[in-house]
Parts: sequence; structure tokens; C-alpha cells
Amino acid sequence: MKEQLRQNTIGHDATVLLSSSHQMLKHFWIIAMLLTLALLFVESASAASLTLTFSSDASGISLGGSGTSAATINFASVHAYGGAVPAGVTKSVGATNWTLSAPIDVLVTKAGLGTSVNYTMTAQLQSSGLTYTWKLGSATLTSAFPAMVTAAGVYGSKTAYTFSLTIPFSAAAGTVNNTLDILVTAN
Amino acid sequence: MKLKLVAGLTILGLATLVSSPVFAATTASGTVAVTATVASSVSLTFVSDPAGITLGGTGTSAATVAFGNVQAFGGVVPANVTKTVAAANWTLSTPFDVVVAVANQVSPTYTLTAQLAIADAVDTWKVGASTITSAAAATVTAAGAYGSTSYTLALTIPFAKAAGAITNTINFVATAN
Repeated sequence: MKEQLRQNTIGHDATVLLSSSHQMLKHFWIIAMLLTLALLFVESASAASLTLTFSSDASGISLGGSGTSAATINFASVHAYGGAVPAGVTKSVGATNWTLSAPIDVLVTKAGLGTSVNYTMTAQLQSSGLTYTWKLGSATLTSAFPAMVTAAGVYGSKTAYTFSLTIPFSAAAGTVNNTLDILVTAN
Repeated sequence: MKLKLVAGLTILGLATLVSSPVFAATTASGTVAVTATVASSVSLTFVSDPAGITLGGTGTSAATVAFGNVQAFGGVVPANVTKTVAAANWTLSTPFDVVVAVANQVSPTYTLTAQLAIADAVDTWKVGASTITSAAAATVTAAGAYGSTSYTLALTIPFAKAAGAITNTINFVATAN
């Protein structure tokens, strides 16, 4: 074998590959196996997916876009003292601020993720909401970074999270607009 | 050469494996858009003053003052009610607290007015220094400080008035300045 290799050496020191048929075959199968595994993972991973939808909670405010991944909450015109709030909204007045709160339902379903037992959900404000305090469940939301709402969300069943907006008495009257970006990740 | 080829193909296979989506987190996203129109507002409540008569509905915007059975000469008055008898009339007076708060508006003070719901041409009603009638709202204060302020309610009854029940309501309005 070594003698055969030397005889096939070309002048510029390139060596013509003339390994034995046994070694060639072994290397071929190793490579083929690796490539096959890779292709199998690609094929199975392309079927994995999550869906996230929001819907009106029976005790909460009626969501716009209920049943979709793009919901809206419209509190309309509200006052700390007096006035009315939409059905399903709770108003709490404190010493220096007041809070509007309402539950919303979150539904996350999975496909092709048999090994995932739960999900992580984060929420982040699109715009800075420094004047007000925004919360989803127990997580206080900002625009700086995603806040963890849950690290062990349950698939396949609606989970109610209370959204709350706290308005200081010192905040000027006017329109409040912001959007919560919600991200769920399979664990 | 052979080893390099094998190594290279192995690395290619592993790279394909590692870059496959199974190693990327599976996610889904959504949005919840929130809107509200915050309007300014003022709160007005009445609270029993420590030195005054016990209000019914204390802490609310609908309080009651019940003097009970009273008489110019003799008899008793409720706790913390002062009876003053003059030459031609007598007066019952007691302090009560007015609590005013403002939200979502820059306002240094408030104006407080009071007006009788029912005309009373016989008795004299006063809140603080202001005589209250049903004809028009009287200004109790034009620069009230937010928070709790004590005002004295005084009801003056002429000796000439016939005995009987006295019932009336004072309508207060607090306006942010």
C-alpha cells in the first residue's frame, strides 16, 4: 500500500489519493451518515411551530382582534374620580395614582414540538411608557427590554393574565397609546 | 489529503446539523395595542370633623347632618354641636370637613360653592362665612387648598318660627382653578 502511494507521487509533491477500497468505503459511510442526520433534523425542524393568540376573557374587557395575535384594548375616556369604565375593567384609586386593570386570555399551541413541555412568554413596550406603569400579570413592562411574564406557560389552554395601567395623578390629561410586543418561546 | 477531505466533509456535515432550525428556538409573537383617553377630574367628599357632629355617609360625597330634637331653651344637642341663643333667634353650629382632590390637571387651588336645594326664607344657613340660599350658588372659598378643610355649618332659627321639622340639602360644587 505505501509502496503504491510513493510510486504515484507527482513532482510537485501532490499525492494522488489511492487509499484502499476499505478505507474509502468507511469514510464514505461516515460522511453519508452525518449528512443524512443533518437532513433529517432539517426536515423535522421545519415542522415545529408555535401559535400565539389573544382572546377576550369572560371577566375582562372586550378585545379588538380577539382570537388573533394582534389584539387591541381600548379603555376610551376615563377619569380618576367619577365617570365610568368599560365593562370588565376595574378602576382602583390610590393616594397618588389610579389604575385600570382587566384580564386577557393568552393561548399558545405547539406543533412538532413533542419534547417541549411549556413555554416562556415575555412582553415589552414598543414605546417608552415612563409616565405610566404597565403590567402584564406580575411583570412590569418597559421598552428597555423584554420582561418575563411566565417561564412555564401551559400549552393548549387559555391562561388569563391581568393587564394593568397605572396613571399618576400628576400625569397630564390626554391620550395614552402603546403596544405590547409579546414573544413566546418553546422551552 | 485524504484526511483533510474527510475532515472537511465531516465539518460540513456538522455545520449543516448545527445550523438546522432544530437548534434555533421556536417562537411566536403577537401584539396588544392599548389606548385610553385620560381626563382630568376632581373629587369632593365630606368627613366628620373630630370636633364636629358625626356625619352620616362620612367619607362620601353624600353626607347627612341630623341635629335630632332640639330646642332653643333647655334640652340637649348632639355631641359636638354648639347651641347659641340670642335675643331673637338661636343657632346650631358644628364643623365638618370638606376633602377635595384633583387628578391629571395642574391646579393650585379650587373654588367651592354651596347652594340650598329648597328655598328657605325663614332660617339662615351658613357654611363658613357664606350665607347659603337657593337663589344662587354662594362662594364658600375661591382658593381652597386641596386636601381636607374644616368648615362650620350654622343654622339660625328665629324664635318666631313655628316648631316643626327642618329639612334641606346643601349642594356643593368644587371646581379646579
